[in-house]
Amino acid sequence: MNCQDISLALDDRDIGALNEAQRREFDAHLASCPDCAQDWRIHQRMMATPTPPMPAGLVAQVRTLAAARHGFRNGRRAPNRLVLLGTVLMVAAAAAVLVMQLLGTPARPVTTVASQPAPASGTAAPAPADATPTPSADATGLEPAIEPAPDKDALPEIKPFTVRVLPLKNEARDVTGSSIAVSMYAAFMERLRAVPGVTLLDDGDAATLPSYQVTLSAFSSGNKFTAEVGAETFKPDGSLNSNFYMGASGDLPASCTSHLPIDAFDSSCADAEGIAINLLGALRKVKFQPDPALQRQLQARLLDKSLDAKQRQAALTDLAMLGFAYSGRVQMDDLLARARRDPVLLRGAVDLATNAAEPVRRAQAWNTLRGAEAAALVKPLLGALRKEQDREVRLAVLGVMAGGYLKNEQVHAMLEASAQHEKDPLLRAVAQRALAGAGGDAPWRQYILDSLKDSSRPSEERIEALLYHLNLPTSEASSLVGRLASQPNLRLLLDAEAIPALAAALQGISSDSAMLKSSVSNVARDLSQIDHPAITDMYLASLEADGKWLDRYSAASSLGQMASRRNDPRVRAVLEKIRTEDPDKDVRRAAEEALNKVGTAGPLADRPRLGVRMDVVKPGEAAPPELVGKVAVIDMSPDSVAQRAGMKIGDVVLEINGSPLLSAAQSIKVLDGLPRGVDVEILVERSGQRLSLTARF
Amino acid sequence: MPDSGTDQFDRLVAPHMATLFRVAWRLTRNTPDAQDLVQDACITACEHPADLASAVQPLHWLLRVLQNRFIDGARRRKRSPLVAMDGTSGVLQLPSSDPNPEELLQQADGERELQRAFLRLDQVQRSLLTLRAEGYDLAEIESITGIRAEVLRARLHRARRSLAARLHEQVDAEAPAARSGSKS
Repeated sequence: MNCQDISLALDDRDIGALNEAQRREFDAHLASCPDCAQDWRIHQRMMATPTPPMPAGLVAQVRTLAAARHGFRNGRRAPNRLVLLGTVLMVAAAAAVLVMQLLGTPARPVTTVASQPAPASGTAAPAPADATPTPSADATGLEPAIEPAPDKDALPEIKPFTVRVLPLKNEARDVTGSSIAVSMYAAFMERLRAVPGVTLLDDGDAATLPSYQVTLSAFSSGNKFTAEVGAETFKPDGSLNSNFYMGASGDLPASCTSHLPIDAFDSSCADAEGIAINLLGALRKVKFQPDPALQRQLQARLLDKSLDAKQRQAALTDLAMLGFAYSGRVQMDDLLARARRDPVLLRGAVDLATNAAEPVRRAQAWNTLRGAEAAALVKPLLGALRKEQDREVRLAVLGVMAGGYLKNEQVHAMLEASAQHEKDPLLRAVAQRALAGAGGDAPWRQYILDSLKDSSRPSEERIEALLYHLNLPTSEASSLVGRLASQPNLRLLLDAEAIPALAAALQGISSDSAMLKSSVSNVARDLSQIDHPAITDMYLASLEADGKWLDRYSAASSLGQMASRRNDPRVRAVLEKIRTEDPDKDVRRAAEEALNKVGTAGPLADRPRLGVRMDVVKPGEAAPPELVGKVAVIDMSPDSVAQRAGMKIGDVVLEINGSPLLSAAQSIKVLDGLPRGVDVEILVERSGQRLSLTARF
Repeated sequence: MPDSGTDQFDRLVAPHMATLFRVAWRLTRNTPDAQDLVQDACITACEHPADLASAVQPLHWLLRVLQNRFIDGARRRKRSPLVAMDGTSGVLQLPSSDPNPEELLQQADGERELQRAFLRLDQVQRSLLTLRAEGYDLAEIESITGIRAEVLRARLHRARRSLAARLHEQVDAEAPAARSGSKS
């Protein structure tokens, strides 16, 4: 019995299925093979892991949620707790600013000129009773009657807490970077001292467990500077409870001056002060307890019209997600619900959504409101759909409407108008889907597919419906393959035409938009699990075209994932070239790993290959003197014939098929002479023992 | 208001929730995260009534949804968008927020160690090892994950080797860490 057989038992059959003789062999192998023995132990321990019982009430809780969603749906997708587009939620608020930029604007090329849709006004929509927002005490046009947030929504006053900051881990490789790191650390410490509720613990106080242990590290090379902050919390016994990391980086020189006030939470400068502000800001917004003083500060920034829209949007996003990684385990639903009941947040968001100069800002603000249900939003929504010309904004508004306002007659009517009269087909499709509820899913998917296959349209347009779909903050915001796996309907994406169309569309993207590239590359990576030559071609093309739309690292590692294509000589050739010639070390490594996964079967491997490197033991090497002059294994490929036969590095190969081995070169000769498909007996010496191994080619 | 939402839940989801929770706990190693994950997966499942109803084996389908939610949750956290920050081309990396690694369970030292090593595996590896530890054989795991058995075999093997390697690292890492303490 060899390692492969052990593996089989581990993966497939129970040890109980082995008969006595097999069981003995099994035990014998385990006795002599430390790796297999360890695998077996791990397997048993994992099976035996005690698991806690399901909490009482979980079933009822989920049931209630399911019922609420279903009841609320009115056919359409229920508002869900991931109000902000999927990725945003898992992101620190500071980073969320950028992610909102990323996702708030669905992939849209700069180059194509698309028709501007005629707003669905006048022609078909029934004239609402109030055509213009009535001015109110509030300049944003919201009716005065916004209920103040219930008391339970108010953030509790911050409890004092302690922080220990470990010494700076300065890994900057040059003088400039190093001095920035030191300045950054000092700036961070100074500001940390000023945070309400904080007491800094001395290093000398090693026995006291802090509420948070913070680490700062910095790295620089060339003109790129990267810093990272980490925050750990502990259990009473001193063991780790949770941790959190965030990084920030930028290009030097650090003479960039930020024009933001010194206590701003978003700094676009890659300077010491700016980075310190950024990192500390992330901790305060995301990891430390949600702080009512901070909340008030963010609210003030949101409403401060002297700031530009980008800064106000940052405050809006931060407000919506204050404290989400706080280890007090605030439930995500509660957090967002509370945020969205915040009248200041609503007011500020609507102001941005209605009055910001740039369409992208307006769209972002609307996206933040997705899932917020407030009577007071109806009028602004209607107004926006009537006035807005910009496509991204209309898309965002439709998204908010679809998420919880369908029961409102006026909204419903506007959606119906959009469904019929929007010039832009994506907007029409989105509106139709919102109205059709569950029955709208199939036509929506068909729309996605038809767009993909429509080669008369530019690539960016072909793929945008799919990207929009993938970025929705619904249960569909999961990987393409995840959805393919769990939703049989989507498997039609695997049909003969769809995948090549998708691959062609992806390759045809010429836009330089970083946001588009990022969302496209996420899809592209997932595709490696679809076994289709068009996908392989897609990766190869992107490697050969120098990573225009998919970065080379992803392309190389995705190729490695494609099990059935790995032996394709074309794939191997490209990967080989990258492994040796690519300027990027990580890409070279990805190619190497991909190559190692490539099997030994195929035209290149007609000759039986053990997958080892052998050499003669020389005097003075760390081996018993009697082995000098013998042939030993000095390297072995993973998943190789040799490994499966149970060979180990360091084994001295004495005989192959009964013939004594005198040199490594001789081994090749012996193996060359064997017909394929035959088992080969290899006699090795290991730790003074002789073992007979069987290599199966 | 049609009640088929809760009907379907009672019939097809509720009976499996204990299993789902157990698997979710194995994946995340703490109760609150497991609860969230199960909740997330069940809600997702309920939003696709047609798929749920037509699944040949509802439990397998539910496990697949659970697994995908788990993997995607982690993937979302790991994404690093490259965005130009007004010309200075700064890049913000997304933060990682590891789940609370330990529960207040009576745990032997070895168990804690195994748990720590397990949590350092990537999500796909955790997922496969968990399914195997739950007792599903390759055919069943293939049905649950949609990954072919041959591929599964190799991945399971690699996952176990990775876990072994991590355990090994931990033992090595433990010693120096105990010495360093805090310096000024």
